[in-house]
Formats: sequence, C-alpha cells, structure tokens
Amino acid sequence: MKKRIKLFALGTIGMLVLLCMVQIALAAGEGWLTRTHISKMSMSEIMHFAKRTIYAVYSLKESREDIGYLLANLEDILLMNPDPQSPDVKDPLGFFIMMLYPLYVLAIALTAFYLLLVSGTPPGRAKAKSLLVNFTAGMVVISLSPLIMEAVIGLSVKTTESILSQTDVEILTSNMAAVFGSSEWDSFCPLCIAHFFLTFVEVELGYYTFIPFFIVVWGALVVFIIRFLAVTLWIILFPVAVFLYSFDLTKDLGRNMLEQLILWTMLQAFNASIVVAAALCLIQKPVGFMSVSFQLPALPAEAGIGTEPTMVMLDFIPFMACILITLAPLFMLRLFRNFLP
Amino acid sequence: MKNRIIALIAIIMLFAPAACMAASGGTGAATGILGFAKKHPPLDKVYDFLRHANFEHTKLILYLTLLGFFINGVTTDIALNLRDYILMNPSPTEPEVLNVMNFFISLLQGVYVLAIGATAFYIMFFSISPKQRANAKYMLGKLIIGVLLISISPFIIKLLFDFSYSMTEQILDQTDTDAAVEQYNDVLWKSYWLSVLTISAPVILDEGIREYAILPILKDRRLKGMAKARGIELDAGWMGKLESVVEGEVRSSTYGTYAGYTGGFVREDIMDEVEKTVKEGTKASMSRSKWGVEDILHRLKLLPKPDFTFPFLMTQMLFIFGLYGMLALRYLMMMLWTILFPFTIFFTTFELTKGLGRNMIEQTIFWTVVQVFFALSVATISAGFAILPEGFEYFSVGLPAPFEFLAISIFSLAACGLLILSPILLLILSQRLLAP
Repeated sequence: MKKRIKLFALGTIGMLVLLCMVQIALAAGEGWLTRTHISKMSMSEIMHFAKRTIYAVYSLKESREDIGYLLANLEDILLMNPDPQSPDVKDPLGFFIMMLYPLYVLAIALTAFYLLLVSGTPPGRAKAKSLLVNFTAGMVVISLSPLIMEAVIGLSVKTTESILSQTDVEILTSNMAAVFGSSEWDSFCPLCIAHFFLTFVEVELGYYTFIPFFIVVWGALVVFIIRFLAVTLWIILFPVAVFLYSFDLTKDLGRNMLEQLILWTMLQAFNASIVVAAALCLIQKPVGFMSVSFQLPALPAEAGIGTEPTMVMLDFIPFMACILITLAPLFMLRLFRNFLP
Repeated sequence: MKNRIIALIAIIMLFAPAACMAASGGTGAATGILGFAKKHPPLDKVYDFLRHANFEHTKLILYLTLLGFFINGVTTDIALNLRDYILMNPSPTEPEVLNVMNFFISLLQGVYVLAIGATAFYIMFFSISPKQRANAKYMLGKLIIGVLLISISPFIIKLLFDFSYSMTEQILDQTDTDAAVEQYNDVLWKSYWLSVLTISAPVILDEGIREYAILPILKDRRLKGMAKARGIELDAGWMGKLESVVEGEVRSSTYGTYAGYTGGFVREDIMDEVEKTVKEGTKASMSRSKWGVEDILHRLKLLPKPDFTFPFLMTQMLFIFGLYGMLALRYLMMMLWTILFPFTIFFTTFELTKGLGRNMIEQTIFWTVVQVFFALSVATISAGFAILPEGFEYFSVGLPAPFEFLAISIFSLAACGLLILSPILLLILSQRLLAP
C-alpha cells in the first residue's frame, strides 16, 4: 500500500508537470512564448501547491516518525535513566566529592576543637556533638554517592517496571497510533487528512492542525529528555546537597536540592502511573466516550456512548494523557514540595 | 480503507483543478488542453468550473462544509452525552483496576508488617522513656489502622465516588441540563455561521474592492500607456465599459488577492481582456458563462479568504478542547488517584511523609469533587438563564441588520467559560483544603 500511494503521488505530480509542459508548448505554438505570464502563472501555481504539499507532507512525516518512535519505545523511554557509574557522570561527581572533603575535614576539626578546648554551655556542647555526628555521616554519605545514586535509580526503575507490568501499554500506544497515525504511510488518520487538506485551504490552518502533533512530540518526548537531564544534574550535585543539608544556615537550600533529586527521580514512576491510568481508562471507557467525530447532517444522530462513531477525529483520553505527561513535572514540583523535614 | 478513499478523493479534488488550470494557462486564457472545451459548449461550463478562482472558492466551501460537519458532531455528542460525561466515574472494583490496586496493596502490606514488627520490637525490648513509649504505641496503632485501611482501599474510594456520583446526579436531576447544552451549542453554531458570514461581507468589502482595486486602475494613466503600447487608444468613453471587465479580472485574481497590479504595472491578464474588449468592440463577458460557480459566488459576493474565519475558529476550538479536555482530564486524574490511593494512605501514616500523603488526599478529593462542581455549573447556567430579566438573555455585541440573529449572547459566552473554568475555580477555592 505504501508503494501504491507513493506511485500515485508521483503520478499526480508527473501529470501536473506534463500538463504544464504541454501548455507551454501550445503557447509557444501560438506565439505566446514572448508573453511569459502564462508560464509564470503555471509556475506560480505549481509553486503554490508544491510549497503547501512539501509543508503538509514533511510536517506530517517528521511528526509521525517521532510519534511512531515514541509509541514503539514508550516503555524504554519511560525507563530511561542516567548511569551514575558511567565516567561522564562519575567524573563530575568525583570532582564535587573531592572539593567537599577538605571542607568536611575543616568542619569536623573546628567542631572537635570547640568540644575539646572551648568551655561552652551544655546545650552548645550537645549541639556541637550532634553536628559532629552529622558531619561524619555526611562525609560517609558523599563518599558513597555513586552507589547511593545507583541504588536510588535502581529503586525508581524497579518501581516503574512493576507499575508498567500491571497493564498492557500496547492499549494506549495503539489508541494513540489510531489518533495520530503511526509512521507507516498507509495508516492515514482523520487528523492527518484534516491537516493535509486544511494546509491547502490556508497555510495558517495547517499550522493550527499541527498543534496536536506538536504537543505529543515536543511536549511528551521533550519532557522525558528534560527529566533525564535534570536527574543527571541532581546526581552530580548530590554531594553538594548533602553538604548544604548538614548546616543550619544552608539546610533549606540543601533540603530543596535533595527534594528536587527525589522528585525528578520519582517522576519516572509518576509518568508510568499516568500511562497505566490512561490504559485503564481506555479499557474501562465505553465505546465513543470522549471521542469527537464528524456527524453528517440528515443522518440519524449517533449516541456517542456505546456506538462506534462514523469517523473519529480526536480521542481525548490519549491526547490528555500526553498533555498530562507534559505537565507532570509541574504537577509533582507544585504538589510534593517541602516534604522533607 | 475508508480513510484511504477519503485521502484519495481529497488529493484528486485538490490536484485535479490545479492540473487543469495549468493546462488552461491561467485566468481567462483559451489555450491549452481545455481550450477545446472552452470553445465548444456545453463543455465550456466544465472549463468555467475548473477556473482557478472557482478552485479557491471550492476549497473554501469544502472547508466550511467539513467544519460544519465537525461542529455538528460535537454539538450532537454534547447534546446527547454531556450528562453521562459528567457522571462517568472510573470503577475501582472492576477487575482491571482492582488487579493494579491489589498489586500495590500487597507491596505496602509487606512494608506495614515490617514497620509493625519493628515498632513492637522497639516497645518490648528497648528501655525508653514513657513519652517515647507513648509515641511508639501511638505509631503502632496508626500502623495497624493503616494496614486495615489499605486492605479495603478500593472500597473506600468506591464509596467516595458513589457519594460524589449520587450528589452530582441529584443536582443534575434538579435542573434542566438542556438549557446549558443549548447555550454551549448556540455559541458553537453561531460562531460557525459568523465564519460563513465573514466570507460574504457584501457591502463594505464590495465597495472597498471597487474603490481601492478597480477605480485606481481605471484612473491610472499607466493603463492608457500600456494600452497604447499594445496599439489601442483608450478614451474616456471606454472607462465605463471597461469597469466590468477590470472588475471581473480583479475579482478572479490569483488566490483572491484582488491585486490589479504586479511589479508596479497593471496585470497582463487584465490588459489582455482590455485589449480583447476594445478590439472586439464588445463588452467582454469576462470569458465566463452565467452558470460558472464563480459567477454565482460573485453575485453572492463571497470571498475565497479563510483568514476571516480564524477568530471564530479559535473560539470554537477553545470551547471544544476546553470542555472535552477538562472532562477527559477529570476522568484520567480520578483513575490516577484511584490506583495511587493505597500509597496515599501509606504516606499519611508516617510523620516523615505526612505532608506528601496530605497533598495526595487533597488531590483525590479535589478531582472527585470536580464532578459535583461541573453539575453545579450546569445548574447555575440553567437557573441563571431562567431568572434573567426579559431581553437580557440576548444581550450581545450588536451586528447590523439583518444579521442580529447571529449575535452571540454575552451570557452564552459566560456560560461556556464557566463550564470550562469550573475546575480551575474549584482549584483556587480549595487551596490548603485539609487542616495542617
């Protein structure tokens, strides 16, 4: 089918070119070659359609390829995490650890000096003793940073895997493929046809019909990549966060940094929960629920629930799932802040 | 298969006229493959139909027709199913959802058992102060209650959904949902017909075209100069006769731009028609039969420019995506918080994660109560319109006669806004819902 459609498209373009050439030849026969407006007009019309065809075809092609990639690899993308043991992460992490060791040693030495040689009040001495324990524990923790991060990432991956195993993610991906089309050219979805047609009506309309594809690809896919980068950043800054958490003066900053690390890491499980919830919604919902379709007049009105619609333009459950995945970081950061003591 | 057929038809419709236009060599030309058709009636009607300007009009009419079908689909769906969309809740006791929740419950029960064991060990074998012992016993009680609650969490959340469902149903039964649906559909349909109206701005644009596009050409000395270069003399007597010729060519201009000039000179095809008119000594019929689509559309003064429809299209899309999006989002969020409910109870049990647990409970309650708020919005709209003073329900930005029946009432717009924004209003009202 793919080959047939390609042949058809080529045939149509070939017909256009042939007709223009015939026209120019006929015009030349009637002495109109000097009046170049005819060939110009034919050329301008060809360019008019060529520009719009190129935009419609390539915008659809690129976005459907990306959507096809996202849908084919949704589970792998959800489970994507930086490797704390890889040199690209371990080296900057090691740099910060090395930078903080002397500071910890200095802090421990000063606290020990205070305890041994300065006659302080009992509460002051108690606080100094707890600080000493904190510093020692902090130093041990930052020394084990790569292993701790690996454990945290491993926990997140295992949690996400167990959440995803509870339902069949294929249900969501197949629904999304039906709405947005897969990368195969023989699966024209109504949204793709609308985009193609409206581009020829007016290019601006083609920009607006491209928005759903844009949200899915550059919304959902980009958020996964942003999460990957954020987790990498907070892994590298983990020793600094632990160091800052040790002091009362910088405890808030340290706590925020640790919260960010935990939230961005657990976002993976949250995204998996969204995917599972969307799949369960698609299983449970009646046929036609939340599906916007064309309704030809003079035909009997179709009850949306329980009846297969004529031509579904957009199924809102998978679409909103993509929007929710895009907004999930904002959700988590807004709702789950300040949870550490 | 259906989609492929539609795609093929669309491609043929879009490309075939263009191909024929290329063959016919542009507006008004009579050469090319269709030149034969033009010279041999009744095939000239086929030629007229395939003229470029008709193509632009045809595209626009097709776009508006398909948009009309889409709006029809949306309004029919809302009229039949809005009540069901508001009432629809996920079912926590269905096997698919129950399996997921049971998996999480079994995980958390293990953690609870561990925590209960550790607390009991702490109480029994550690010598601690009375205050610490009291805290540990309190914690033990919380843990036991917690493990009982997560074991029955699907039924707790089902109870919450059933309570919300019955409240919503009772509110919807007290009111006439058709009134709210009517206002919503009214806005969609009126904005659609306003889109159709904008492409047929009869008087102003027509006068505008005459004043700004046609008369300047007739008064332009360059017209006389260009005509002289072609060997024809134009005197004042010709100006009246040429107005219809120039008007016809301007109206059927490329892509509806109504530009009579290209590169600072009067368009060549206009000059061709002028030359033809003067040489033949007759008023050109603009190479157009009376039955061409363009003639009919020209008489109806329709413009092939969809740009004017964009503001209305944006309004329609905002309301459609807003309402469907909010309803779909509510259903999705309720499903999400249903499967996370065991974790909600778990996090609430421990002091360290109590804040997290409280936020999750707030979200669960919030997205459940959104259903009631939707019903209240529908009831408010219905009641509001019922008690509006006479004539106020049609208060709107005025449209000139005879189009005032297409004016969208401000109250209809407000009703649509309320339906879409009700979750956000509830979100603002329910900040810090639970006690700290």
